[in-house]
Amino acid sequence: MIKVWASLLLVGIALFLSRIERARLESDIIIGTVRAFVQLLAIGYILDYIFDLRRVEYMLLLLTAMVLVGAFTSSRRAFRKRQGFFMAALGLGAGTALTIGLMVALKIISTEPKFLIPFSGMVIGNSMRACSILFERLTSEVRLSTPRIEAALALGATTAQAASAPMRASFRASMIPILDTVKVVGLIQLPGAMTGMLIAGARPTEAIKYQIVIMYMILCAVSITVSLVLFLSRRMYFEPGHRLADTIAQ
Amino acid sequence: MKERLRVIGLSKTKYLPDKNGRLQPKKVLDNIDFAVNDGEVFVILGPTGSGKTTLLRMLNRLDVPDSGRILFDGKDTEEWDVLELRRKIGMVFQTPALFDGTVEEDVLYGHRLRGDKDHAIAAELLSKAGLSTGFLHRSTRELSAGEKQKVAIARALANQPEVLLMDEPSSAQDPSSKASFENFVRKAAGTGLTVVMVTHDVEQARRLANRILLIVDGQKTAEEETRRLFGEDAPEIAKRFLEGNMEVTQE
Repeated sequence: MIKVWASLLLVGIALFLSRIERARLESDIIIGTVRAFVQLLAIGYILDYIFDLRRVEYMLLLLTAMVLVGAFTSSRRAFRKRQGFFMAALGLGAGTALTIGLMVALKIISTEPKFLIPFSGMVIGNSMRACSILFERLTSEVRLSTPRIEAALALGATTAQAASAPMRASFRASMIPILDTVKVVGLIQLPGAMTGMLIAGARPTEAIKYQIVIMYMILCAVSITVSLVLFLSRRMYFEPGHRLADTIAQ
Repeated sequence: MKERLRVIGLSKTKYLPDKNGRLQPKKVLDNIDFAVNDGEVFVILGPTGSGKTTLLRMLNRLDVPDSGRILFDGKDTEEWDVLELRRKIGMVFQTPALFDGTVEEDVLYGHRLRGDKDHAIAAELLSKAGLSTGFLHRSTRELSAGEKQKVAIARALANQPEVLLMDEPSSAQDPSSKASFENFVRKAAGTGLTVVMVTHDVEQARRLANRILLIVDGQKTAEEETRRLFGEDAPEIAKRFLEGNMEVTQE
């Protein structure tokens, strides 16, 4: 059995270095360590319970909770947080449902919780990261491009036409992490799922099959989430009548 | 003379940050009325922060008033299709923001939005705005502030507007560019284009305007023919501003 308590020594090293560097991160490190412990412990018990139950409704409830937590986290970076939450929830929900649904329909994975939950978790986690980058980048791009956007509007452009350049730039920025990960997968980092399978004793040739599917699945889900959120998020910056919101300049 | 624009009781309160960053209400426009006739050069004159730009932006609905109405060709601007309204009422901003690409692409932006693919018109528009056709294939990034302003004017003209709104259009220009800009305004008005221009440059207003609306602190102070505003019977507050004795309010 892996010695969890002994691994606290590693946290001790991080604390020691923070103290020496006077980075004042000690409380953050302690809070992070405790949170990780409690969150993982809780999810361990919850998953144990759900895996044993084999009931679809509990699994869906857990997946919904995961989507909502992801949406809440991303929405902290949105220009309008409440609107951002609903947009992110819709984007994450749709991206996860479509991708996982397609994988089940194509019989790539089965509907057992032990497949569906970890696969969905990977999808939601990666999509959430992309969504956060999208929100953050959109606001700064729209602010930076305000004169050009208004110039385009004044020439008779719709908000979609006027905002196309900042929207495109934000879409590209939010896709960079997953694209870079897909490009170097196996060369620099062995992803979590594959690492887990190798530790559990699977043959590397078997583990890579899953990993390939997982990478493609995440790429698809992130694209869906980001496209949908991008489409919806125009409402955060524009008013009816093809007009930039007053608050964006402040 | 036909009336192009009529503004009735326009008011607007904006929330602007004070020294502590708290938003405080400020009445930037207070019950403004005026009318602009077809083919005239109408200048909105006033100190910095007097609400001129906000007023101009309301004419093509880039900004909305809290109360009041604006009629364009007798019809409330709210009833116009906003995209059509903005093609008919073109706008040139104080700091021109050009798009990435060539001058020709920039000039034809509005043109292409309408699905028009005629490139030949770009050269003619550019020379109307006072730039040689040699600029057509230059990148918009290489231009000086004055050249950018001319491209912005050409680009607004590409939509064949009936009214052209201009916000301090020659504030960044050297004296010779300023003169060529003023020439453009006179010529454009001569061809029937209605020009509504915002400036705080009293002398430029005097040289160009048929009529002047004077705004101080969001309030209409005068709406007069230019020669009357500069004459003996002008309102006292107008005289004070025109003589340069008015405290400039900061935004």
